[in-house]
Amino acid sequence: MVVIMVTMASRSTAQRPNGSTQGKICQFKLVLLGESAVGKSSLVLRFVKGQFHEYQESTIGAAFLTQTVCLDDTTVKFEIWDTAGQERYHSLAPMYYRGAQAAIVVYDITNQDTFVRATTWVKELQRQASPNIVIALAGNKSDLGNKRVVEFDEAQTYADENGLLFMETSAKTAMNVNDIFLAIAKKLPKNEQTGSAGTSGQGRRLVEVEGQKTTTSNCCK
Amino acid sequence: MYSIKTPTLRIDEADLKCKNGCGYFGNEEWQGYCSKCHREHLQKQRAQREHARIHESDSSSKTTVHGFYKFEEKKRQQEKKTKLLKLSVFRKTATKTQGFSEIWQELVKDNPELDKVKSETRDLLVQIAKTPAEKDVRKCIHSFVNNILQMKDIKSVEELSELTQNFYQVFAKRMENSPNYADVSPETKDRLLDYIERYTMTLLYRILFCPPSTTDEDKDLAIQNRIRQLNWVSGKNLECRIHETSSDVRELVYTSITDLLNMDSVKAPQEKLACVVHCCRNIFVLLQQSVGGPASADEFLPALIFIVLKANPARLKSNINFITRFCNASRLMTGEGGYYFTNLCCAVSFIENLTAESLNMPQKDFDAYMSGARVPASTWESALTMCESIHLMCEHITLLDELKAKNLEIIAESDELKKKMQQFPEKVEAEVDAAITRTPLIITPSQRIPTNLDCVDAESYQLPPPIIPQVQNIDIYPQTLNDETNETLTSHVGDYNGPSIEDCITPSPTFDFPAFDSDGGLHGSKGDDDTSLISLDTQCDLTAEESYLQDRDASDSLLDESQASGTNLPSPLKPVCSLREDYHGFSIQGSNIPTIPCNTGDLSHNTSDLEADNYSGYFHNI
Repeated sequence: MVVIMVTMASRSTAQRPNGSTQGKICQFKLVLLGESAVGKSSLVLRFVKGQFHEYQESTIGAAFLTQTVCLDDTTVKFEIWDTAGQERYHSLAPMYYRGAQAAIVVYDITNQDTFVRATTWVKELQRQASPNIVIALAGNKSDLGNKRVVEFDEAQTYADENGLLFMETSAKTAMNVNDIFLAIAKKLPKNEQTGSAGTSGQGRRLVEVEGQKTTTSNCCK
Repeated sequence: MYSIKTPTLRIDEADLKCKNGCGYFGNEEWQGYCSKCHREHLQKQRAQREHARIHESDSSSKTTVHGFYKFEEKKRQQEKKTKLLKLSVFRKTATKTQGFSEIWQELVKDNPELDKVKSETRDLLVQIAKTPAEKDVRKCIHSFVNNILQMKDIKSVEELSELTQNFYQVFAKRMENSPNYADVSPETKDRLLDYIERYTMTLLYRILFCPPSTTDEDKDLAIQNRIRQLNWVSGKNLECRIHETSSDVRELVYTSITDLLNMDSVKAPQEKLACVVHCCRNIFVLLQQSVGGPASADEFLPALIFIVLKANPARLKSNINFITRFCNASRLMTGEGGYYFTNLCCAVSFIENLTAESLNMPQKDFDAYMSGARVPASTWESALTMCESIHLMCEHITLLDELKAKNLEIIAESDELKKKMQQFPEKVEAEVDAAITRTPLIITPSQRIPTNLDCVDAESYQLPPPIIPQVQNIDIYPQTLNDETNETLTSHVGDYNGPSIEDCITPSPTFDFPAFDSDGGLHGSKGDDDTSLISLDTQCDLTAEESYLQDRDASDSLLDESQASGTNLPSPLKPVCSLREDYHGFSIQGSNIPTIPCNTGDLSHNTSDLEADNYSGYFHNI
């Protein structure tokens, strides 16, 4: 069973529905990469706040957001770090994806250049980011099918070759937005001991949930 | 010198050697160096000081822009602080023989922030007070601080940082596993971890922040100069969408800059981090106003770079390094603070590596700007100066408007006052008129005169009754005369005075009296007086009655004699004279009664008037 919690605000402590599922909370850092104006922040806003161009007053920024997803017995808390997409800030990207457990590389299906940029991002991540990083490729603006430039098959083939998750998404219609985050959550290693040596901080467990006081090395049941 | 030092046995040989470790003996006068190393050290210090001075004059010559004056001021103060700090650090290394407890005390003594930390976390401390947890926390802090103090001169900053991070981790684990923390809630544990970091880092700030063993300071100066060189970079160059002309946005820019500058004035790494978070949140707010929606990283990073460029925070590198080294890594890697701090690091890195390409401008232009050969037309500063003057103008206009409104108010009020003043005499006149019309009572005295006149007219028929008593008096007096005994005389005088006292008590008889005594001088004059005067008179009479009885007796007897001997008319006049004499005497003797001379005067006047024309005098008085 997979449930996406529709908790609106970013919370420091994850909430669970009625405490029905007993499990642990894993926190993951997810970094968003992609050319500017491909809709990175729209995607996140849709995922976290369910908004698209109808911003509430409380939403002051879309650069740093958190969202919690419930997966079986595990609560996955995403900490989503947006990055500046402009070419000139490209060299700064390693500072963002350092220590990230997941990355979504976003391109615009109506713009071939953004797809080319996306492939360079993927290459860079595979080369420089932590080896266990989960990379997803998102072809955004799928609602603009009539202006499509990047074919679905082309991207799918590329993703398969490089072992990436791939989905075409639309922040406007909310198509596949939750799905791509869920797919990442599923693929992420929920083993807390992996790389717990402080700085890398892979899946660092933050809160021990009631009923599971003792620390176990493998919580994925 | 060696012979003096050996008996103390507190200093081992290693301490006597040159601090530089060159193998020669050091000297206390040379700050623990040997002569050669001391010279080198001095030269280095001098160079550094000169560098700082050039740097300072550089900054002071630059502050021409009004809007940034306060920031520059703050920066300069902070630079001064840096120097002070540096000196104190040197001094400390020179006096190395202190025990750790002494160093600790010194650290605690001169550290107002430490009290602030304590007071701000009081509720937390109260919560864990007198539990095994509190004791354990104390113990941990103590051992950690001692450890750092021991290591501070031996290990590098990086090693100290590792030690600190280890301490945080060990402490976090300890809270998880130790029975001391069994009944402490996870939230409190979190706060305790924060508290430990805040407390120890505030305590050890002087030792751990920008230690002389690192090149942090040089990096600070380098980045500061770099930012100064880049002061021509505008928002447009960075493609950041800040509306420089909107006053709200400008205010927010100021606030963010202040937040960023504030980073240097707080001590604990988490507090510094909080300053960064504040700054970044403000940037988001101002971007929201400029962009019209939640800002993404595409807009945020350029804006942050812009803010850093305009703020040019003091000791930027030192602060960033301090946070990276000594802030709890788990907090730095995740959460809002971690994200914003990463962005700040990115911004600094971008500024350090900024090229023509990264600003999307030709190399030639970039070089021209960097060398100062070209000054861009629309820099933030010029926009600011303009906006500043516009802002000032706006302020002045509002001030003038306020003054105008106040002035108008005053004019209106003065008009009203004038009107009131004009109305006032009219009103008074009207009231007076009304009062005059309302009170015909004043006219009634003139009616009284007719009645008096009537009385006078009725003289003919009113006269007879007084005559009868006169006749009786006459009847009595002859008796007294006949008797010629003092006893009877006094009794008669009493009889005589009786009616006059009665007159005073009830005024109505006095009104009757003048009519009936119009001929008689004494009674007529009495009737002229006001009742109050009469009452005074009688009082005087009453108080001084006994003392004057004898005199009166004599005068009365004389009067009686004259009355008996002469005609009726002159006889009343004579007693008046005698009375007058009496009153004079009274005024001379009884000076404590001031009203009497007045009365006598009145009496004399009245009597003289009466002498001339009895009736006219009476009328005049009314």
